[in-house]
Amino acid sequence: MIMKNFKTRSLTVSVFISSFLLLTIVSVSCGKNFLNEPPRRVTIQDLLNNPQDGAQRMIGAVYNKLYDWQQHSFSWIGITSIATDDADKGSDPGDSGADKLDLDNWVFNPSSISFFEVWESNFQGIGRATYALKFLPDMNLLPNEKERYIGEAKMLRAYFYFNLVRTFGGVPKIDKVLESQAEIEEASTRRSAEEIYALIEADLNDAVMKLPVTIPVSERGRVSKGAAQALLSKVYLYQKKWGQAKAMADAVVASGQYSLHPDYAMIFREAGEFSSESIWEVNAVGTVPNKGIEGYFVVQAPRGGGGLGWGFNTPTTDLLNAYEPDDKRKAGTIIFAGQLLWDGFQINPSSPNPMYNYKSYVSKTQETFNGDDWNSNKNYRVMRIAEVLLIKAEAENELNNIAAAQAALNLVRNRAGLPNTTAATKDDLRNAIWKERRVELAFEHDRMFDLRRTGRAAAVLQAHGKNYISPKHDLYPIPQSQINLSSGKLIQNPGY
Amino acid sequence: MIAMNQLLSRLSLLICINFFLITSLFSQSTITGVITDVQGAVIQGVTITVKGTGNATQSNANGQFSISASPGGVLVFSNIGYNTLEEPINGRTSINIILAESSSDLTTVVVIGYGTARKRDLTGSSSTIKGSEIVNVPVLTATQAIQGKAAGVQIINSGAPGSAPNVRIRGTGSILGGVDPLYVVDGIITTDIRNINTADILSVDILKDASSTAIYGARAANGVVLITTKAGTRGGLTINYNGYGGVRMLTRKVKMAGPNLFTIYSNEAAGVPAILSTDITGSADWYDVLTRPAVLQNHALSLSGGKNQYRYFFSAGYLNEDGILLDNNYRRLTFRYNHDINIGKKIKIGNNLAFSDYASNNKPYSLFTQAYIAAPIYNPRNPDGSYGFTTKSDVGNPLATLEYTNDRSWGRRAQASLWGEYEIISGLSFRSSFGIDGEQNNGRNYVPVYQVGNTTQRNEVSRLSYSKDSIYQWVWDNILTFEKQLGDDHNLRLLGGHTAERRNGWGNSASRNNVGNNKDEWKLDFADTTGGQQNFRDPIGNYFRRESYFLRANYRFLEKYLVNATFRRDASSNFSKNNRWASFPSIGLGWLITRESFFQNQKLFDALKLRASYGLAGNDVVRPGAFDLMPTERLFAYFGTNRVNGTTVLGIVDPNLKWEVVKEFDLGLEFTFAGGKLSGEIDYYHKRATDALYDIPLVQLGFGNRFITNAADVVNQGLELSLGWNNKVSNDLRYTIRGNVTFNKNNVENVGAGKALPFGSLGNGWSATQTAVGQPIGSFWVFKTDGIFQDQAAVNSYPHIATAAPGDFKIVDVNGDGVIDNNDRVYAGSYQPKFYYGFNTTINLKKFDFSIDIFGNAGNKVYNAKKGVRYGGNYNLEYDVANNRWRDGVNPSNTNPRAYNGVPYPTDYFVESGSFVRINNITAGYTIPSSKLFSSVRVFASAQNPFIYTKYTGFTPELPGNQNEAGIELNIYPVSATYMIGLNVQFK
Repeated sequence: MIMKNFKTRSLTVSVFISSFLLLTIVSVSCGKNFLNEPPRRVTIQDLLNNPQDGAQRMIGAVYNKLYDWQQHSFSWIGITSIATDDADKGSDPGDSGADKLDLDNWVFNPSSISFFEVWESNFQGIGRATYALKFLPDMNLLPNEKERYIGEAKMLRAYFYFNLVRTFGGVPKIDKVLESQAEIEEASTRRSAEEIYALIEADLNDAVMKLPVTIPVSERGRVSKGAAQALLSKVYLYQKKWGQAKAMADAVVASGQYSLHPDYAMIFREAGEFSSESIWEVNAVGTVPNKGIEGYFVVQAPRGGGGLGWGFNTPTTDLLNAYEPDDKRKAGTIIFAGQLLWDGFQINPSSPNPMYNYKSYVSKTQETFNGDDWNSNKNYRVMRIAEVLLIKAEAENELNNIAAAQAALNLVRNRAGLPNTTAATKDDLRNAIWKERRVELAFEHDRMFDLRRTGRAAAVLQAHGKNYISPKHDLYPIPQSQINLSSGKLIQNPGY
Repeated sequence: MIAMNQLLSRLSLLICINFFLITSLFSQSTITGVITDVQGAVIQGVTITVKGTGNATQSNANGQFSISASPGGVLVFSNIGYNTLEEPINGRTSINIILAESSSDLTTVVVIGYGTARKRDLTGSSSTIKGSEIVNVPVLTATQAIQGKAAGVQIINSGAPGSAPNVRIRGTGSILGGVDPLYVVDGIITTDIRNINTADILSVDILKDASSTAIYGARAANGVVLITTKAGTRGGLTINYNGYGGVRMLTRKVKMAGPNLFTIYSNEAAGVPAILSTDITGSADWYDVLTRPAVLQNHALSLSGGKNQYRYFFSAGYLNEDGILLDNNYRRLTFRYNHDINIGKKIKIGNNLAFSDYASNNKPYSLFTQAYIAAPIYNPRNPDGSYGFTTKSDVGNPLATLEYTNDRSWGRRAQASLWGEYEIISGLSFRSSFGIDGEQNNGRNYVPVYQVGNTTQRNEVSRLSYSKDSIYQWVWDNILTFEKQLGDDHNLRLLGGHTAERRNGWGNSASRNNVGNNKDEWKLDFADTTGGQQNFRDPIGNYFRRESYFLRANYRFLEKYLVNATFRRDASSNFSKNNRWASFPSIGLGWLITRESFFQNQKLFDALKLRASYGLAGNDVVRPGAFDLMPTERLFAYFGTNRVNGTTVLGIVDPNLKWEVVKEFDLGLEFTFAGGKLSGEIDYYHKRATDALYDIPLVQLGFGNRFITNAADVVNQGLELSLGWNNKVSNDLRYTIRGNVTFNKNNVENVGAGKALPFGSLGNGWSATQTAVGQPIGSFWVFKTDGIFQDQAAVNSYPHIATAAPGDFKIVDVNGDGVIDNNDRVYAGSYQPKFYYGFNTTINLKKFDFSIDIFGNAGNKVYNAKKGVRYGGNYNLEYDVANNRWRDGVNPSNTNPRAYNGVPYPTDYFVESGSFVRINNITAGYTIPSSKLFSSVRVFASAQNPFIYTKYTGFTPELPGNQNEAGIELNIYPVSATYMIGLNVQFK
């Protein structure tokens, strides 16, 4: 095996030299391909090439936003509920829940995290809907399928915008996909609330045209024509467009798809999901693979020894006292410390808070629960027929149709076990409807916006002992971080 | 490309030949001799070459060598760490040689990119650490042991078993790209060196300036660490054993409030008696409960040897390291087989094979934080064995958390590099090497059903998750080198090469609920999608393909003028086609002043060399596909019971993303004085990272809140000084004193759109750091305080936050606009030290040896975030913070705020000095004279990190982390002290 042999050596030489040459040739000729690392994930082109799947995925991403912690949980609960006379911060005295104590006491500032989270989440929803609307028109789908997806994207975009305009007033208007820093900077300027409402109305009117009347069981959670109409009637209500609000509410009622659930408390349990009362719910699933409204249950669940959760957003005595005697809704809305709940769960009598929110309660024994209390089965109720009836009542009253207003209001009152309203004048009836909204929709994220919409926020909240300053607090502040990032192009609301 | 299997089969053929030829011998006339150092100790592993031929050998364990050469030839003796010596044969057949040790002498042979060189011929800046300085230090990775031993190299160690330290060479050069150096092990590029047994390391060479690193262009921006493992020695079989065992302990424990103080503080903060005296059912010092003296042991055994035509080195290593957290353990097995063989005079082939296997029982580091905040008012365990608890605090029982954690990881890694060299004609040779690196990492986490007392510390459904990552990488280098001496005056060395590499891999993970209450139940089938099991498959985070061409020319004129030029052209799949290729040139000049005739008459300097270099290096460490607009998947929503995999685009990207380029200038002076006793090096460097990756923050309008682009400039400039003093007082007493210091100034000069980026989330809604123009990367950004409001009148008379009350910090309205907001925040230093230094000394007295290593850094800050984690929930707090709190009319403190339950603003109260001096290691050893069985036996005792001096009040001022948020003590593993004894044996 001695390698002095010339033949062997020249063989080895040629192996080395030829492999080097080969490598050089290979790297020159194939270099281009070698360096192209194919994408490891789904591409936009993949979505477009498989339109059936692609369209569902793009719209699914918009719906996904409705489940997010930032969208409907802590921050949203804070600005819509804890800040009002319906609820206190809850939890332990020392547990400030980031800025929740500040919201409760009305000492927040533009840097408080809740405003940023509400801003960010709703704009993210708008971005995702706008992306869907960019691609859907050119996707190879059956016409009715395509229409429906477009209707859903528009309806959801309108919902996100409605949240923003109610929270902050006028905000930047996004009606096309932004693709560069320059385009984002260009768009970073506040448009008037009227312009935003116009966009919301246009989107919803289009959605009403495109969405189906009924949603099959297998598609629960998707939005319907009735949902778009109900949301649109509320949008009109906020703008005091009484005639249009009434017309939309009437359309929802006339569809025949919805009716009041005979048992108020059941609406908020698993057994009441997608009931006849329901117009729009976010469809949470509490079994593997779980997808819940992130943290929604655990944040509000009773606290303390053996408790279930963090115990935030607790009912006030003021709310408790707002219920008329015999109002069945009180028992469906409020948990008392020490109470034995419907499913047999005993609340600790020495819980740190005297009351908790019953509507967000999930039974670990009688309802679907697999240990993941962050992603629980609790659906988020966005719109239900009772609210549409109250919108109708308010609009009819403003249009001087007192009898029609009373009739709608009484439907809601009677279901709660209460007699017909005694309010007969327009002013009395208006107050009666507003009061009814409070108790009917308690903890359904309506109170703060309702107080502001009706101009009562300062009077009611100051009487409740809040540090509410009008007109400063009639809108929440634009998040300071966003103002800074816009280099001052986004102008803060007055007073902040 | 050539199919991989063809290539592998060809290479395996080479191995076969390799083994075949072990038995082949050449019968030639020889010259023999023994090589010793100046103290008379034999030196093994010295390379002996016959000058001008390819003929070479190495000295064996007894320092003996044997080589064939013509009687008129010249033998060249070289070894890392020693002066190279040229010895004319002059017809002798027996030549005994004495080699002088050279700690930083100019004649040392050092490892450089794609080769070796005499240090005197370098025009760049590099540092060498010998393997003998690492082998007996209780560390997992070699880089941990070189802390304080090389100028310009900052090592930030973590105390956690199984973790690698942060290594920063000449500052932090990137904001969002990689900041770790490139590791090259025996010529093969890698990113993780935790699989290398430190006993296998011959030397660690650190390349610092562009002239040294630019040959690795693509990823050299953060410096290069070259690790050379041991090769066999020609001669008989040598068996070495190196081992140590010891115990590791938490050294700096922060004193926490006890039951009474905790209760008083909590009630005072709540304003109501939330905790009653009857709620105090016991007490716990949670740090004592969770930690222990941890045992560690390390054993390394190696067999090496060889004959004229081949060398081999085989080693096996076992490391078992307990963490100071109960049950926390890491163990590693390593094997290495290095082999090379000459086939005839012109061909040499070899391999480096390494295999490692590890297993770790993980405990979450968040336990250190949990122990910090857990209420001390109950016993960890009740008499009946159940866990103690309280319903008065939100923090669960840390012992229960620890014991209910069943988190294990384990894996394997195999590296193989095969190479061949052919000398085509004299001076011209070709080398091809192919390296493959495959690793598999597994993780398993089981959460049982449990309920601690009557609290919310519980888990209602058992859950098992399992993950498996498989990563493979290959790199193929082809290099031609040419060396030519033209007359006496000109020496030219040329190198040209091509390299291609690819890294790829996938991670699988699966989980399911309701797996039965058995912590050893761990079987999950990745294919199973029934029963609520969820499976995911994702690409690894850093897959890539790269291709490069490189050239280097070294020219030496009259043995005193040096020119070194390199050029590398790199391509990376991390960039789009338009920006894929980039060029990285460098030039270095050197002048050996002492060789000038005008310098011959002085006696001060033994050697003096001036060098300067300038060059470019690149950084492509960016998420794969970052330039491409890609949708995000798994934005799930349910339609009925059908889960929709929501998929859409979430932000904007920069399609023109490209390389970060570092432009570095270096000016250095190397000198030796006093007959070789004093030597040193001084370097000035200026590194500018241009087109550095930066996240441009955006107004959130639904298209992302930031996007990554090339926008920033970061400058590091500094001064490095290292000095060494070697002296032999007598045959019985020798000593070495070495010291180094590095001054570095880091500054962000430009950040594109000019927006600072916040980092360092404190977990309470606030961030502690910002990276901003005019500041070092990751500077602390806090509110300034001016004492404490002593009464309501003081609050009312100054701008304050809405919740301010007497006893709160008076936050300074810096911009004077009457409002306290983020515009009032100021920069309060960064974690990057102004300077860091090391000091090492070794004394040999007769058979005794003694050494001490000291490391320190100064001028930096740390953020003691632990002091701010209490915001209600009845968390515990430090004794001093509680005891010294402001109290109305009782303690009008101006430095410690009142008892408070809100989220504290990030103020300068949390920013403390990060300066420290630490004794890294003290070792004393005794060498037993050789006997029949042993050539040498040394026993030693050593203390690692036994003493630290710092003003910092937390656990440790050594806080590795991402460059933008390092230096925040929140969830960290405290540094501990290790005391151990060890044994080094060489068998005959």
